[in-house]
Amino acid sequence: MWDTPAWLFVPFASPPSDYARRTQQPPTACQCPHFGGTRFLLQPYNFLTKVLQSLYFSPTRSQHQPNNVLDFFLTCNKIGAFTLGGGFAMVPVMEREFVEKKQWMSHDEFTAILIVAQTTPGIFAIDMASHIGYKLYGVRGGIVGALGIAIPSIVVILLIALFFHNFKDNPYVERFFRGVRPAVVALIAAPCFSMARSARINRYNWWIPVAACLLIAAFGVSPIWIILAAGLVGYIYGRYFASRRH
Amino acid sequence: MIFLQLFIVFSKIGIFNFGGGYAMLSLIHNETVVKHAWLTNAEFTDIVAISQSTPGPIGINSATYVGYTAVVNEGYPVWAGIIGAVLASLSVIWLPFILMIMISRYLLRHKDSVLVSSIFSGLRPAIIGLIAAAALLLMNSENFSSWSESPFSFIVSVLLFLFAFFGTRLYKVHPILMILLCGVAGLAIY
Repeated sequence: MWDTPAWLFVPFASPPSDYARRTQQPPTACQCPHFGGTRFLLQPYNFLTKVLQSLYFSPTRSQHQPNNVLDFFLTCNKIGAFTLGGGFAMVPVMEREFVEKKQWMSHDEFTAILIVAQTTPGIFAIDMASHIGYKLYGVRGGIVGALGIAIPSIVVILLIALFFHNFKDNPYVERFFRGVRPAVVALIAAPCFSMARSARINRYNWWIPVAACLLIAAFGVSPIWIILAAGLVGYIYGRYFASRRH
Repeated sequence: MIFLQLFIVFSKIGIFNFGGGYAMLSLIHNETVVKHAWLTNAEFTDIVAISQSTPGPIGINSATYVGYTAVVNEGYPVWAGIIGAVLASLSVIWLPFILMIMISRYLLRHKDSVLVSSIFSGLRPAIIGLIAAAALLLMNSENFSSWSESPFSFIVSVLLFLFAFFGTRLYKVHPILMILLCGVAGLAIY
C-alpha cells in the first residue's frame, strides 16, 4: 500500500511520463505539484491541496508537462471532430495543438512521430495519435489517443447512416465543400516549411526533399520506397562517415 | 456469421494498408464489393463520397459506413448494423495499434543510439518531400476546378488556397477555423 504510486489515488492525474522524465524540468515549489515519496499521505491537508492543484490549476504547471489524460482525450476528440479532408489534413492541426499551443513535444519529435506513422501500416492519423499518447502517458495514453480520434468519426458516420442518408446531395453542402477543398490542400502543404526548419535544410541537403517530391509526384514511386531508401542512406552515412568526427 | 467475417476482413485491411486513406479505399472495395459482395458498386461510391466530406480519417469513416451497410444488407436490424459499424472500425485499428506501441517502445528506449538517430537524420529531409508530393498530387481539377471548364471557380479556388496557406503560416490562424472560414466563403461565393 505504501509503495503504491501516488497518481493512482488521483482521478485523471497522470503518472510521470517518459516525456516528463526525460525533459528534466526541475519543478518549482508552487508550479508543479510533485508526488514524491509517501509522506504526503500523513499530511491530509497537503495531500488534498496537491490533488486540487493538479486537477484545477493545471495551466500553472510546468510548461512542457501534459496535464491529464482527459485533456489529451478531449484534444484528440476536437481534432477528430473538426478536421475535414482526411488524415493528412490532421498534421497541421496536431502540430498546432500539441507542439505550438500545449508544447507537449518539440518540432523534432513531432517530425519523428510523423515519419514512424507514415512507415507503419494502418490509418495515418490514428497511428500518430497513438504514438503521441504512448509517448506522453504510456499504453493507456496510446489507447486514449487512438479512440479519441476515432470516436467522433464513428459517431458522425453513424448519425449520417441512420438519419441523413442524402446529405451530400444538398446544394449548400456542395457549395461549402467547393470552398473547403482548396483550403485543405493548402493546409497539407503548410507543414513543409515548419519541418524544413526542424530538419535543418541547408545548401547541402536541399536536393533530398526536392528529389523525393519529384520521384513521388512525377514518376509515381511509392512513398514506402523513398522512406526505406532515405533511412538506409542516413544509416550508412551516420555509421561510416559522420561517426569518425566524434 | 457476418460479424466474424467483418472482423477478419477489416483486420486484414488495417494491417496491409500502407498508403493512407485512398489506398485503403481500393482494398476495401476489393474485399467488400468484389470478394464478399456485401454491397453494390453504387453504394460503395456513395460511401466514398460521404467519407470524404465528413470530418475524420477517410479510412475510419469508410470502415464504419461499410460495416453498417454490410450488416443491414444481410437482413439484420438497425441495432446490429450499429454494432457492425463499431466492430469494423475497431478491427481496422487494433493490429496497427499494437505494432505502433511496440515500435514506439523500441524507439523511445533507443532514441539516442547512433542507429536510430542516423536513420532519422536521413528520413527528416525526405519526409518534407513526401508531404510536398501529397499536396502537389491533390492540386487537381477535382479540388481546384479547371481553367478551361470554369475560369471563375478556378480563380476563386486559387485565391482560397493562398488565403488558407498564408493565413495559417503567417497569421497563425487555427487550421480548423481556417477550414470553416473557407467553407463559409464557398457558401457565399458560389
